[in-house]
Amino acid sequence: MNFLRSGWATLQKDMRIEWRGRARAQGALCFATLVLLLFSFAAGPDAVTLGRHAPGYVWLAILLTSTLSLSESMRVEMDDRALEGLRLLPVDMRGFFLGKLVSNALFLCCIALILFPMSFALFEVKPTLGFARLAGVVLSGSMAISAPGTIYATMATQLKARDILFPMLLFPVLVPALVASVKATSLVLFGDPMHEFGGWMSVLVIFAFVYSILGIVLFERIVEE
Amino acid sequence: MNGLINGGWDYVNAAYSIVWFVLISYGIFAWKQSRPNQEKLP
Amino acid sequence: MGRFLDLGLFIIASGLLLLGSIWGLWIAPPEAMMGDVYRIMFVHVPSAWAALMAYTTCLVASVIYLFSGKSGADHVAAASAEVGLVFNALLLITGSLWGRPTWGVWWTWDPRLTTAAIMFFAYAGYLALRGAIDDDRRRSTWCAVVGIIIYADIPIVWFSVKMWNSLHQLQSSPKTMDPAMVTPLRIGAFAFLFAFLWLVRRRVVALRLRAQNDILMMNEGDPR
Repeated sequence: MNFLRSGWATLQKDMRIEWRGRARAQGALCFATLVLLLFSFAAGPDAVTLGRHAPGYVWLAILLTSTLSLSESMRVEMDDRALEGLRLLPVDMRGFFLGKLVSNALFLCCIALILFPMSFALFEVKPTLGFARLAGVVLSGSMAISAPGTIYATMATQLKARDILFPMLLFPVLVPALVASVKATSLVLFGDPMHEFGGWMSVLVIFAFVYSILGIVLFERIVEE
Repeated sequence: MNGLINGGWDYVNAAYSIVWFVLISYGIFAWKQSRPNQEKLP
Repeated sequence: MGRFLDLGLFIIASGLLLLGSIWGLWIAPPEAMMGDVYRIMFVHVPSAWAALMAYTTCLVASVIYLFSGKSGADHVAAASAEVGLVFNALLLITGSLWGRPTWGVWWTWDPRLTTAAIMFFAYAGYLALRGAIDDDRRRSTWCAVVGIIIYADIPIVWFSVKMWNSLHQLQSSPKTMDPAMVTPLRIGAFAFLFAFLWLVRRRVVALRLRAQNDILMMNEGDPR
């Protein structure tokens, strides 16, 4: 019971921090949209090319923003040694991890909520398979990025070379999540004649599930050192 | 030498040379590093 | 005892490597389709096996460390990750050198090749993390966690790249092989196995020496 209560309390706390310090969320959002624009400039003004690669651009923008938002969300816990204080209280660290994971994923969902409409306007694409499926991809994709991301962010924020080490550790592990989110999104945008959508969604869900379980099991070992 | 691809020996030689070079130099490194340094140990 | 084991491993490894190279380069007949290029296989495939073996050793040692807290397990994990990275580099280089004459490209998004490349970067990150932590217990525990996380990624990466690339699969691997070509491949596999064992043992010894040295330095109060 303590497990879920700790998780819920952490989630509420994070939401409140995000809401009260809106400047940070705005900064991350600004970064994400800028990345999306930069990708368009790098690829050139050809509308067909841009449209075809729209899912890739959006997910790369989310991925790059996640390196900022994940380490920022863990930095809050390290400031004033808040995490150490938390460990003195009867807080279930596994629940804490789960709460962090969900709040990080929700933050990425909010970024996606802005980026996808922007990409519809910029790249002239629309979700042919409907918004419900797109929401499913966004939700599971955000979970898939956040699950290993939260584990690595906990370590990286306590290191001197965190800005280099965090993406260096995170990006190779995230390759399947990126491939699956981009593929699933492009199926939603451009139609799915071969019925591949379910396969890619299961890759995403399995990835998110495996790393959530690993995080819940191993998180206590990370914070106790 | 009647395969579909001829003149592949350059690639074969390069591959074997690199494998031998890397294994030998890493082996020397591993050997040297694992020798106790007499000055630092009592 | 340990010294004889090391010497034995070294002699077997270098002898088999030499024998495998001679056999692969001069004794084995050229292949019907690929001519002589296929000879790269005798070092390419064993390096793949050795790399996978090294990473599996790293995983097992990581799990053992998390349960037992013995620094020996941590040393084995560190050593095998490093040795695995070397074999992984050889795998990528020889794979590239094979791909150019046979498929006309240096690189292809084949599931095995892509997985190998991603694992190379993942374990490079693992070793970078090792270098970035000063505290011994923290380094061992965190790296054990990362060792498990990365290994869990191998099947997912492989499967997702396979699915991603399924529509334009370019090549298949030669499954049916002449017995004259199986022998050098077996020799190569055992050569790399013994080279792996010897290298890991040397690296473990080096790490143990360094740890002992650190303790001595600490006792003397010598700033490092």
